[in-house]
Amino acid sequence: MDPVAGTAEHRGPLEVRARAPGKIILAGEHAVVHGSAAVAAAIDLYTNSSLLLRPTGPGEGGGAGSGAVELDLRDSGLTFSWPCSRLRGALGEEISANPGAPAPCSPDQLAAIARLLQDQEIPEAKIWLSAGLSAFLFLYASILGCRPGKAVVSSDLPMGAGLGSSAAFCVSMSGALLTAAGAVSVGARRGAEGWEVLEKGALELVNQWAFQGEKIIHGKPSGIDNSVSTFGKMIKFKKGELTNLESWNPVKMLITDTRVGRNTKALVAGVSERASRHPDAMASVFHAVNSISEELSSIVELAAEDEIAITSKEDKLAELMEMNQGLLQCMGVSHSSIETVLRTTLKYSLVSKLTGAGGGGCVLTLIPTLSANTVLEKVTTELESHGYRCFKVEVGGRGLQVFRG
Amino acid sequence: MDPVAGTAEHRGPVEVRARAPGKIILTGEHAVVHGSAAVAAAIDLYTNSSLLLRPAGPGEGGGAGSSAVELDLRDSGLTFSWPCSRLRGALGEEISANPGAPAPCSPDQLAAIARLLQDQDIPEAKIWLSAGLSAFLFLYTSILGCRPGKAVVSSDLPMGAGLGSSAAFCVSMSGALLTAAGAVSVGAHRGAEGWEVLEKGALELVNQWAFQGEKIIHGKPSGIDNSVSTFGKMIKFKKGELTNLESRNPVKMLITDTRVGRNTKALVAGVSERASRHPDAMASVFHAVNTISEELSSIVELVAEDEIAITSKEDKLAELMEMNQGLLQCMGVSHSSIETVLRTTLKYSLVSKLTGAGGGGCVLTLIPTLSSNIVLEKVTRELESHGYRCFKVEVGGRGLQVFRG
Repeated sequence: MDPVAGTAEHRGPLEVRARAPGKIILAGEHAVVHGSAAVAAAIDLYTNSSLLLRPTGPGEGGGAGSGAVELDLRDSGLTFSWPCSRLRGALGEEISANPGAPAPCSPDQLAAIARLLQDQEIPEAKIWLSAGLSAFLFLYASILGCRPGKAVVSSDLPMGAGLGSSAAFCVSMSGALLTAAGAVSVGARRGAEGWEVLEKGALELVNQWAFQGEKIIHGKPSGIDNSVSTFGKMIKFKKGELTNLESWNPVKMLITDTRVGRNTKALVAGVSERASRHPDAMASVFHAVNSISEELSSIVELAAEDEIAITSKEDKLAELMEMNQGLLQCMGVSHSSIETVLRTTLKYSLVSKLTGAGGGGCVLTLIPTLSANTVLEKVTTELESHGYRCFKVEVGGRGLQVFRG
Repeated sequence: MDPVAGTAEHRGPVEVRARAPGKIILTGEHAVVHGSAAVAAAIDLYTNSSLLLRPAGPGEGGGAGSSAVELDLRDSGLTFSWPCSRLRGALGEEISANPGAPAPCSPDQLAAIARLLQDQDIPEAKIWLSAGLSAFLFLYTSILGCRPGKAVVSSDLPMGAGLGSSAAFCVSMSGALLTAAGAVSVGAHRGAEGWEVLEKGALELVNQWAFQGEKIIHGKPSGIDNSVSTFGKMIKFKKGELTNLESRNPVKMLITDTRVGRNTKALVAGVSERASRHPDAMASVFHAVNTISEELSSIVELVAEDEIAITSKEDKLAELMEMNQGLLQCMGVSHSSIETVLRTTLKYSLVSKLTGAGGGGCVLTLIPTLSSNIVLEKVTRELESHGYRCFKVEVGGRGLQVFRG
């Protein structure tokens, strides 16, 4: 355990950065709720959390500039600040820093956090903000205690689009907090530009804390979002069991955000209702999705050495995506905007599939390795002309990375 | 057995008319090839065959105006004629009239018929024509022998669109021929306007002959097209077994002919190839389709007495159609034109599903009983603006009807 943070009087300010990726579901959404396998993968769009801990003066809480915990959300242009004394007053008895032992946020703790949020000016329209701030305060206080510090968050990920932005926030923040707290070792594997991947045990600790944060934001998350964000690559998920997949050959995809909001709970409920009206047919549908996810899991682990092998692998991937899309339509979760994306990409012989809840949200399009850049440009231009937002991503890449300045 | 035709010298000309409906597949196409159940239904678009047998003069074959067998295809504007002597010369030994005993067309008979077609001027572009003419000659000579007569055929049905036009041709022609030959009784069930439905044994005889005609046109037909055309209503079809369904409450549908031609054999082969690449997933898909067809079979037999019951029945039908469409997309047989129809009808909250082979062809749209005419007009206009052809039909109605003048 790194003793740095423990001897604050002898050190200067501590700066830590962490970045964690978003995720897409490659196959299995919705059916996964009914016991089928699903496959999620990291995408190279990141949420960045940085933490600056100023050294505490000789007397904690006193001295020039009594400490505060600040949060700067760069993308929204919003900042929040809680004096440490206020934090201690509200949370002191409820939360003590214990970074090595992740535990859920209790109802009392949550109530205490809610009181702290009342101080702040939270714009009416941003309901998600309260949940995110609660998760932040919980993680901060649970890992670092009431020490003064400033956190800055920015992200490449659109929010509420099903790309795992809240998990990326929880993972990057947990990673930064645990690194700052000295609860995880850094320095051993510094890569290019100083970013490094933590070792397995450390990642598991981060993941557990991030999951607790996710629970505050989402209620009953599956855990797959934060796991993919922490560990990267691809993960197969079935009935609560996660399996890390050794994916070879980076897969390029286009993610199209239709910007059509949807009610995930309602979509999930709709599928369940259809299943109760047609139990046999839907059981077969879920079974087919399971087969597709299992096949996809095998295919991504194949190493493809030459162009022919790569193309063959991508053809199989594309066919599985197309089949999954048909099954999602059978479940009733498609949407006219999704169909517009499908129709547009089809004109360029590209295969697409909704990802996540459906009813709007994001659509994945496989970009074959051998496809021309001009094709990608044209299809992107056409999609953007509908008001959609496109991201070109690499799928199955890195998970959490930290940087200690 | 009606002795009319047997004593030609004592009677005037015999005029017979028959009309047989086309069909749609409500659910189960493609999957039916792999053992799943499918449901087909008659539609109120008819092929009309009329037959005029002139009385043979005292000496057959001689006298003013040597006799011939003529065929007038009204919709194509083509007429064909074979002198009876020519027929007798080519087929005499091969075919003798035996209307009560349907038998397949043998290779020798087919060769003889092919020689007869060489006389005629068959436009290059009309490949289907040869098959249809062969079926006509086979049925005519097998049922009526080489008696002079004139057949006129016209139809409401587009050809090659998957709506059973060739079966409707074979059924109406067989019905007319058998009635003219006196092989089936008429007169007992005369309905309004003189059209009547033959009794069950007679219909079976017609159906067997029509099936032999279909075999000449299609090679290995399933038999469902001619059965639906003969018997009407709806028929469930599974692994070669046909079950007549007592469908209640006429269902209104819009049929949109995208006019996109497609290669049915290629589409069927494509599904089989996908099944060989993904046996598990596709087996589940076929299983789901089977369940959908079985459910639909039950639903159509329910009697709905009031508006609420009718709406409830139609909602179930619509949901099954939507689910089947998703599964067909999973099989890979949809097409951009089909998707355009789906997208258009979706704007009016109407549910649609491709019918038949896919890859173009026709699309079904359920028109709820309580929907307004304005909606139907608007959606029809919008579909026609794409160059599609729309037919408003009633599904599950009458089969073959004959009329003896």
